[in-house]
Formats: sequence, C-alpha cells, structure tokens
Amino acid sequence: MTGLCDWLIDPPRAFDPLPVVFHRRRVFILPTMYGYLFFGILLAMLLGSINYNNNLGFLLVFLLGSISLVSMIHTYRNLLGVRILSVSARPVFAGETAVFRFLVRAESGRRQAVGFLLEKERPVLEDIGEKTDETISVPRSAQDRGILRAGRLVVWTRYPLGLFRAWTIVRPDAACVVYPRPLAGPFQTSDGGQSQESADAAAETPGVDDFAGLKRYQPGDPLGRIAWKTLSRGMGTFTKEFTKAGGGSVMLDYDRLGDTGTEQKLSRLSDMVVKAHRMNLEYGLRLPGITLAPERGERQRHACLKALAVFGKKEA
Amino acid sequence: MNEPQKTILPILLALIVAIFPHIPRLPLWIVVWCGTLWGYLVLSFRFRWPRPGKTLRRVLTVVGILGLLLTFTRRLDQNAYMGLLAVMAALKPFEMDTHRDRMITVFLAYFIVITSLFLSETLAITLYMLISVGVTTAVLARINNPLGHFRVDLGLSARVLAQAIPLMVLLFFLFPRIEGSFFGLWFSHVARSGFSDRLSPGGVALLVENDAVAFRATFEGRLPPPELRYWRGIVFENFDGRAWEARSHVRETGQMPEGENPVTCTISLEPHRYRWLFALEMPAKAPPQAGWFADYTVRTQRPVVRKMRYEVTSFTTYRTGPEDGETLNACLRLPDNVNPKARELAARLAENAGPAREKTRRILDFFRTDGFAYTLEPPRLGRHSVDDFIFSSRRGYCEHFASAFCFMMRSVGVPARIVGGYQGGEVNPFANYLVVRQADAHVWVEIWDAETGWTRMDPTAMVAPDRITKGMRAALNAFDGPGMFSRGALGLVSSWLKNVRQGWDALSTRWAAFFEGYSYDMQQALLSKLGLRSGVLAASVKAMLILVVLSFAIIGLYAWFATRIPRKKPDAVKKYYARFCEKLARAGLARPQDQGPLDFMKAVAKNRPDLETAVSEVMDLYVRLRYQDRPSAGTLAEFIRKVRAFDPAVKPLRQKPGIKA
Repeated sequence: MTGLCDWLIDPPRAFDPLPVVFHRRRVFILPTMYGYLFFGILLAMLLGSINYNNNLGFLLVFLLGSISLVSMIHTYRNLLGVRILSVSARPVFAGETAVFRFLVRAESGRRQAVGFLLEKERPVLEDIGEKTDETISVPRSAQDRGILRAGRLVVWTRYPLGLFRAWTIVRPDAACVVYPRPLAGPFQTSDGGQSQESADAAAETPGVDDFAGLKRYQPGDPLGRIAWKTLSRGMGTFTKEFTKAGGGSVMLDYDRLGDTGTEQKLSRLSDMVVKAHRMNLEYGLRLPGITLAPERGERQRHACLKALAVFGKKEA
Repeated sequence: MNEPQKTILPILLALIVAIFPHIPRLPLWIVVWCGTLWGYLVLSFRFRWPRPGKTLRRVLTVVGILGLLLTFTRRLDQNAYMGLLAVMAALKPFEMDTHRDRMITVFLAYFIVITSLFLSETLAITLYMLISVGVTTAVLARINNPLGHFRVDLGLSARVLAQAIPLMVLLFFLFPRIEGSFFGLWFSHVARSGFSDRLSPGGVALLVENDAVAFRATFEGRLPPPELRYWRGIVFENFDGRAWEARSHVRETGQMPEGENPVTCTISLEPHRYRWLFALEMPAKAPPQAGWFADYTVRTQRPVVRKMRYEVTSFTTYRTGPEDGETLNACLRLPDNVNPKARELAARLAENAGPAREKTRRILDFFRTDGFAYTLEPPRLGRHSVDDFIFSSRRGYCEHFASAFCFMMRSVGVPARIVGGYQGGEVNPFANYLVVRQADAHVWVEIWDAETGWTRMDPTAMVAPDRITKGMRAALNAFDGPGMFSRGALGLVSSWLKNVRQGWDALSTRWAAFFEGYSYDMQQALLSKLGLRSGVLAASVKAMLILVVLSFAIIGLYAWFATRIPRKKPDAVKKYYARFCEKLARAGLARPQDQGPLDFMKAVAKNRPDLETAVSEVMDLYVRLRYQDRPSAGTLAEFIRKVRAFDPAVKPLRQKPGIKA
C-alpha cells in the first residue's frame, strides 16, 4: 500500500537542493492501520447509536470523530515547515554503519516524535526544538566500498494520536565515502624488504602506539578507541588518538600484492594505510592509473582510503 | 522512569477512569480481580516483582472467562458484556511490549467509555465521559510520543478536545436522525422498578426505601398545592383476600373526564419496564405517545425501556363520566370468609347511613379518630389481614389503610378500588419542577359516587396528614420521634447537601430536557426553523449536504490557516542596516558581501575620517542589537533614528570652509 503510494507520489527524480522546506506540496497524510481500526470502531458505534437512538452515543461518536480529524491537522502541522538545512556524513569502512547527519530546524513550534528513515533501514525518532538547529543522525549500513548515496530519506510523524501518518520524501544530494574493509596481513610495500620487516614488526606489536590525546567522539569512531574512563566519570564521550613519531617513507603498491582478487587487494591496502597512518609513517599509494605521493597525516589517510574506495567505480 | 513504565502507568490510568462508572454494576469479584491485577502491576515496578509469563497469562484469561460464565449463567446481558471488557482490561496491561498492544489497549479504554453511555444519559455521565475521553486521548498521545511528558500530553489532549467540540456540536445537530431503530433493541439493561400490577403486602414499603427518581414533572404555571399532588398510575380492582391486582383486561376508551383548573406539566419518566405512565390526577387526555383506558389510566403500547418525556394536562377538580355495570360489580366483589370482624364493623358504622357519601365519611372518621399509627415497620398480618390490622396491630402505612378502607367500603356496598402511584414530590427551588422518587410511592382509594363519579379518598391522610402535606419522612417523625437528620449541625449539613443536590438536579433536568429529547422530531423542527423543508429532497438529506459542505469548509479553512508556513517578518534591524549600507554605497563606500560590521567600520573610517563618529555610533548600536543577548528597549528606536539621520553627503562645515563661503 505505502509502496504503491510512494511510487505514485515520488517517482524517481533528481536530488532536492538543500535547504529543503517541508511545505504543503511535499507533505502527505493518510490514516495508519490504527486509524482505520479506530474509524471501524466509530462506525460500529454510530450504527449502535442510531439503532438505540442514544444521544450520548451520538455525542461520543461525533466527539471521537472530531478528535481524529483535529489530530489529523495536528499530525500534518507537526511536519510542516520543518527545514533540512544540510547533510553530512563521515567516511566509514565497509561493514560499518554510515551515519548521515541532518541539520534540521523548525521555525514555528516544537515538533514531537519526528521519524527519520533512510532507505527503509533503521528509523530514528527525535523531537525538534523550536528555532534550534538539531542534528539528527540517521544510520545506514555500508556494506560495500565506494560512494554510498544517502538515497531516499523518509521523514514521518504519527504524533499526536497515531491515527494518521504524515510523511515526506526527500532525496538529499549526500554521500558517504565507504573505505574498503581492512584485511589484516603482512605489510608489503614497494620499498626494500628492510623497511617492510621493520614495518611488519611495528605493525604486529601492539602497544607501541603513543597516546596522543583525546578528541571529542564523533559517530563512526571505532568503539575500541572510546575513552571509557572519561565517559564513566561523566566528562563526556571522547576518542583516544594515537600517533607514532618517526618512521620512514613507504609506498603501498597494488601491483605488489600478488594474484588475489581486486577487492581483497584493496582491503589489504586499506589495512596497510590504516596501519601506516597509525605509525605516523610517510606513505604513498600506487594504484593502476593513480599514484599518490608519500605524505603524512589525516588528509593523506583520507585521500588514500578514498582512492581505494572509488577504485574501479563509476562515481570516481 | 523507564520506558514501559512511562506508558503502562498512563494506560492503566485510562482504563481505571473508563471502568470507574461501571463499578456499581460489576460483580464484586471482577472489581477485586481488576484491583488485584493492577495493584500487582504497579507494585511490580516498585519492588521489581516478576511479571507473569505467557502461560500464566493464559491461565488467568481462562480463569477469568470461567468466572464470567459462572456469574452470568442465567443471562448474557449488558453486565456480562461489561464484565468481559473488565476482565480483559485487567489482564491486557501485562502484555504491552509492542506499540500494537498499547494502541489496542487504549482503544479498549475508549470502548469501555462508550459502553458507559448505555448506563444512562445524565448530565453527570456526559461530563464524566468528556473527562474520560480527555484522559484516554492524552494516553494515546503519550504512547505515540514516548519522548515527552505526560503533563504535556494532557495539555495537548485538552486542546484537541476543545478544537473538536465545535465540530461535534455541528454533527450532533445536523447528522440525520431516523425514526425508530434498525434492529429493535437487542437487550435492555433496565430492570423493572416501581409498581407492579399486583399490590401484595409489604410491596409499597419496599419501594419507599428506594431513593431513586421515578420521574420529574415540570409545570408550566404554578405548582399545585401538596394535597393535590396525587400521581395516578395504576388501578387495582381485584382483591383475593391478600393482594390487590389490576384487572387483566381494561378497555381503551374515548370517554374523557370533565373538570376545571387544568394543569399542564411535562413529565420525564425514568424507564420502569411497565406500560403505565404517571399523570397528575385526573389526566384530561392521554399524551400522544399513549392510549387512554377506561380506568382513567394512561398506558403506552410497549413497556417503557428508555427515558420518556410526555406532556399531560390534568384537572385538579374533576368529575368522571358514567361507569359500566361490569366495572362497578368488579369493584364490589370480595372473597368470602375473610375478615368477618371488619365486615361487621363496617356494617355497624354504616348503619342507617343514607347515600354513599355518608358511609364514606363515617368510615373515614373511624380511621381518623381511632388511634391508628403510621409506621413503615408494621407487624406481620395473618390470613384475615384487614381484621388483624384493624383489631390488633393498628399500625401500618398507606397500603394497610387503603386496603382496609377499600375492603370496608365494598362490604357496605360502595364500589371502591385502590389507585397506585405517587404522592407529593420534592420541589426543586432552582426550577419549576418536582422530583418524584420511589420513596413517594403511595396508594389511595377511589369510591364510586353516583353524583361525582369516581372520587378520591385517602385514609392515610386521616391517620397521618403530614404524609400528604410534608412527605413521608415528616409523617414518620410525627409518630416515631425526630430522625437523625433533624437537629443541629447535621441538620445544617443535610440542608446544604439538599441544596447542592437540588441545584444539580435542576441543571441535569434542564440538560435532559434538551439533550435526551433531541431526536428525529426535534431535528425536523430545527431544520424547518433553519429554513430547510422537505421538497425534492428530504430535509435531512439537505441537512446532510449542508453538514458535509460546512464540515469541509471548517476543516479546510482551519487546515489552510493552520498549515500555512508563516512568512518571515522583515526584521527592522536588518532593514535599517541595509538602508545604512545603501547610503554609504551611494557615497561610494559599498560594503563587500563578506565584510562584517566592525571591519566595514574600519574601512569607512579610513576612507572618510569625517564620518567615523557617525558610523561608529550606528555600528555600535547595530552590533548591540544583533549580538547582545537582550538589548535595552530604546536601542532599536535610537538605531532607526540614527540611520535615518545619517547622511554621508553632508560634510562638517569646518572641513570645507571654502565651499560654504
């Protein structure tokens, strides 16, 4: 039912330029299953009241009927005028959950229990305060490497009585870079074996990483790096960052990874980029047709992983 | 509070509020059942007791249904249905893990609220229903908005209710009503109450203990005096030695009494499941809903199972027409071999008396002067009930006096019969009407007099005149000493309570007169007042069309205005800042898009040092208006004034003296 409706009212179309305002022509409304049940009960009661000529019965049926109609307008208004100002997503590794962060705002009145759903995955229910910028984090699972489009965002509400559901569909032009899933293995570079060995040794010895400090937690940070101590003290959620000083310059080379499949090679390279970054090495990446000169730092890590993510994909 | 608790407790509240008015009608075990289960549920949150599992819940369901079957073996009626709802409502809160369960349970609460209207349509129930719907709606909002506070939900529910009421009123008046019903009344919950067609000993005493309202009578003019407030309902003609019975077949007739001093009143009769209607003695003609019978009673076609309103005109001074011989004979008949002493006494009293009136006077005198006592707890009487009453117990109430008097009159050859009904009624000081309760039940006698026809004689009035003028309680006090509510502070409280009760009753009656009476006929009248007459289309069809159009118009307009996204009001600060920048731009000092006010100010000051003071003043005000948390009230006005006055073209005199000179 809803599928057909969605298709009828939302034929495949171009992206909606942000900011999107939920105005009348965007917001749809229909009774929910409970709404239909409620109307069924009302109809039965109406027949009973007519039969018994019971005025109190009439009064109650009309009261409940009027309440449901009024609630319809409340439901509709709960969604109307909400704006999506921007959307962003931090890169994740394949197999993790991408989090699209929507910045939304409602000018007139507080909005209660508004649901956000990306491509029928995991819904999020949030209130939107009046005249405040709210960040709504909507998860979407990232299975494969590449560019994950946010796809169709359904924003809906059943507030206040659950008898009607108002919804709107937005196609935000947003994407999340999904890095290849890291695959652990030996550290192979195009430089001499010496470097490789030392890198191997470093990579396989845990605990050599130097604790560099804490940064504020952001959705998508690995769970293992969360600073539980600060969290348990109620000081907020932080992520531990590690760095390793020193290290030489290495080149991570696609062609040196033997005859395994493309995806596996990319996963291996992904793992190596992560490790190289963690050891604070100066590293470069060589893929067929692409070469990234050795560098250090967060920016290099992202450049390399993104190159791996989009390697061979159309979006590149 | 954790998540399930936040929804279960409000749902519990909705169920309790919904079930509350049904408690008196539910079997005790169901009330205990609900109380126990709900109590356990609430305490289980507090003390972390285990919640019953699926198996136990099923067992409890089976136990509950078995209990219902055992309780309502005899008949499956409204109460059984209500019991089933209550048993379900008691168990349902234990399984509310999903949204679906919660929604269904709230609908169950609505359903119970609806059922309460079959109890009665009084103002109290109507108001309670509104509150109950409000609470249930708030709970519905609660479960659909788990993030909010229940207080907010209650406010929202009140708002939704207030918005829904105008539409409800419109629908109530204009939704087409039909005459009669589709399927007949499947079952009726109304128990028989009031008089039956058999007046057995002790029958009236049972009624007298009942404080329930029998009917209300609203008068158009002044109320008749208390001694004339005899409400005629049923006539008992056959006496079997023990009980008096109404004749099984009475003709319907066109013969009307003659009389003077007509009094018109509207009676709102509580359903009693008999056919007779009550009217002030003597009804002049039958109301349109009823037939007129030869014993001067008014009866409906079918038992009265719904509250009924009718208008009836009565003559307080009347003369009945001729009576047929069969009826007169029936009113002389007495069983043989009963009450020999009473017959003997009657014969002695009536000795040498001439016409019937003289005999009546003598026998009534006997009751007045011979020291009878009025009490509601008389001793039991034997087989010769009249003999026992007159010669040994000498204590009784209307039934005993009427029975003895009627027997004696018949024994001396005067046709006499007993009339059952009510006498008196409580005058409501807030409105022009009387409330007649079952406690006002009364029987009296009418005798046949060739000149006046059937004539009312009330032996009770001879024994206890207070019963007629002041009511039963006063009459009992006169004989038994003061009752418990007659003195001191308790008396004050009781009189205050009486006032409150009467005020409320007046309000309810006004409401009932309007609300319960609204039906097909009244709707037709209303529609024709609105100028809708049946033409090509029936008036109600036209009304329906108007209703649809009006509803759509109201909802549409409301939706239009309510769903408009308000356009942003132009901001005065922004507007005047733009004007200020425009003035500067005309003077060749355009502000780059990305430049903030302070940087811009510096740039202006650099190019035009002469403007520095003026610009910095305006900028200072602008920055305060924009970024200060709460700028003082005059700031904006000053800003506007400064911007208006600002003119970059005007240069101070001292800087260009040459030109001016």
